[in-house]
Amino acid sequence: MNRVEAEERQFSLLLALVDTSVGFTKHELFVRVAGYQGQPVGDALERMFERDKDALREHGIVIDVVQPPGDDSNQEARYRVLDGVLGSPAELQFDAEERDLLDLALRVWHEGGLTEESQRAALKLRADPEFRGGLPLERTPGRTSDPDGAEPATASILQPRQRPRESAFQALKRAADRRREVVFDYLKPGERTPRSRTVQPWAAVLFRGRWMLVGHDLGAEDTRTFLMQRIVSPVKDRAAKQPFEAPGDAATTALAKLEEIWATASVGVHALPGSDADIRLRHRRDTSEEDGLLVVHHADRHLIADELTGFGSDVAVAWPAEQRELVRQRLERIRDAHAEATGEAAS
Amino acid sequence: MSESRIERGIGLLLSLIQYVTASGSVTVQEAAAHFGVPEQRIREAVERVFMAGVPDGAGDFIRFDIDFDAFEQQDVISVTMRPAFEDETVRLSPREASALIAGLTLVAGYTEAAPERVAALRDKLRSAASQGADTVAVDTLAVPLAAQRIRDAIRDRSVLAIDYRKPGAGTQRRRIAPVALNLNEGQVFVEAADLDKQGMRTFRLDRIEAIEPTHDAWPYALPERERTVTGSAQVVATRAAAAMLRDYATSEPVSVDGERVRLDIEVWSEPAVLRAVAACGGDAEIVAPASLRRAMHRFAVDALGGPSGEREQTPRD
Repeated sequence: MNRVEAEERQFSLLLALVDTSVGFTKHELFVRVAGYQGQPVGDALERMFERDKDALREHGIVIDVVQPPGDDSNQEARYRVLDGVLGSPAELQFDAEERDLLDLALRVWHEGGLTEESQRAALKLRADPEFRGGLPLERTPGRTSDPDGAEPATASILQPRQRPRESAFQALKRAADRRREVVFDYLKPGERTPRSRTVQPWAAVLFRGRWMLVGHDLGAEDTRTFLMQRIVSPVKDRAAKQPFEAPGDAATTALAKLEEIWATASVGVHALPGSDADIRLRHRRDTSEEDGLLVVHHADRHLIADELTGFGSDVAVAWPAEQRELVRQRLERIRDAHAEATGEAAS
Repeated sequence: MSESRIERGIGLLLSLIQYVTASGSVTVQEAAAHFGVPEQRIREAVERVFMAGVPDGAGDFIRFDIDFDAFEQQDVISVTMRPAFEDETVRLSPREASALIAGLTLVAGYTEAAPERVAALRDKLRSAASQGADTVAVDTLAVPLAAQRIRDAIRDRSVLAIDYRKPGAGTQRRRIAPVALNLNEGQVFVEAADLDKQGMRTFRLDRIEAIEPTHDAWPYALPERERTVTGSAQVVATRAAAAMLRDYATSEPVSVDGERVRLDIEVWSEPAVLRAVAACGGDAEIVAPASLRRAMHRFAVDALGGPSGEREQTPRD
């Protein structure tokens, strides 16, 4: 068998697809593309074609299928690269200051939830010989740190990092791309037992350092936001029972809603003056002082209860009463769980 | 040099075509350094590009062409014929653009770039992406003034005096030579040489109460970073709480009863560990050592009893 590497075959497929304006039928592609040529037509070749389309999609190359009216045999369907996938190389050229900023922007995701996309983006940007950003520092030419050297580069001053704490992230993104619904066990803040959720995944939102999934919860029949960190099972995906399309502004709408909750939800706390809690809560975004109390904003009463519990005796919740109760319950659970000299859970 | 999954695939081939064309001619070595991949990977990519071509309709191809003698004898890549991607290239996918825009949103405030330059770059990235739903968004961080002052000190190599509060200790004045700002999960940390303690230290920006310039000389050599871990603790937690403690974990979580997992965490400072475990809101239990269990118990009892007499709770609903 004339074995052509997948990479070479996919590149040949792309070349064929960008060269046509009317598109090629599958049969035409099988005859024309190196790697398909000479292979027996059948399930194996069809599967190879599907895999190659998926691989191109990962690079942002979406293949459009045009079905002639009245034809359902799929034999006459024409494949071509979606308009707008290709643009001018000049669109991806940036000046020195922009390159510096992009380098930093890419660095944020070195180990984080958007690592794959940022690496792919970096590869596209490096088509410009002037662009050297987005590589780990130790692999960046001329970027080894020199203690007596000139002014340190921005990238060595600022080390942004978003770690891949949320293992569900990749699975959710992949499902969202392929418009498949996802099923996972979710431990809602404040609850002790996870519940299975079925969701049409729309978008990922990073809010106050936490990644969240926004989607349509099929059980609740409404839009819901899930903390990725609280997805406690592997994410399974399956064909959507109802085909769905993420709203174009899903991410920004969700972010605006979270900002709104944050602006209106607050807790009044006494913090021991000068304590760690006092300093950190004062530095927290939007904290204000009122009648000797710190007014602390949050997006979820259970999450802020957890955070306040972590400050122990440095803080006491003044209002609302419900919030005081949530912190008290947590402290009682901690006290009771640690009452015996040896852990109940010890083996 | 390691090679990621991303660099094995047609992304590199596409980028390489543009890169070589824009450069005129480059050596394999230069291209490998530019893309951060082994030279062999560049040679392989070149061969694959120039093996492929645009179908001419008659079963053959119009192929890319290079100066093959220069490639084989001098390791020089020089394109002579491009049947595709002459003046077009694959745009950023919506998610690639989102990753760049999201990253930019997180860091821009810490740089010296003017806000309107950043906004213009964001727009440029949006228009350089193919159409698609907006699937990633991040909130804008308010950049503390302290971060800007530290950034300037790093750039200018000036020593600062800071008032710093460590958990379980009072405020201390420290003289530091800052070397980096780490933005980590929404928290800002300052990496610095502590000139009084003669060691590299990490400071949380939100524990710095005041910053003042000094006239002290920048240290001739920076001290080695040392990591002081005093011991380890065993914790049993729900999976969600275990995820919150993951930064401190030294073992993979092992399931104990279906809903909870066991994991070992580093103890670098007892007050800090107690806070981290308590911030799981009762979903994490210290199993061992017994002394730390007792400390965790005391922590909760103290907090329930109120921190001091004057701090009677004053409900106000």
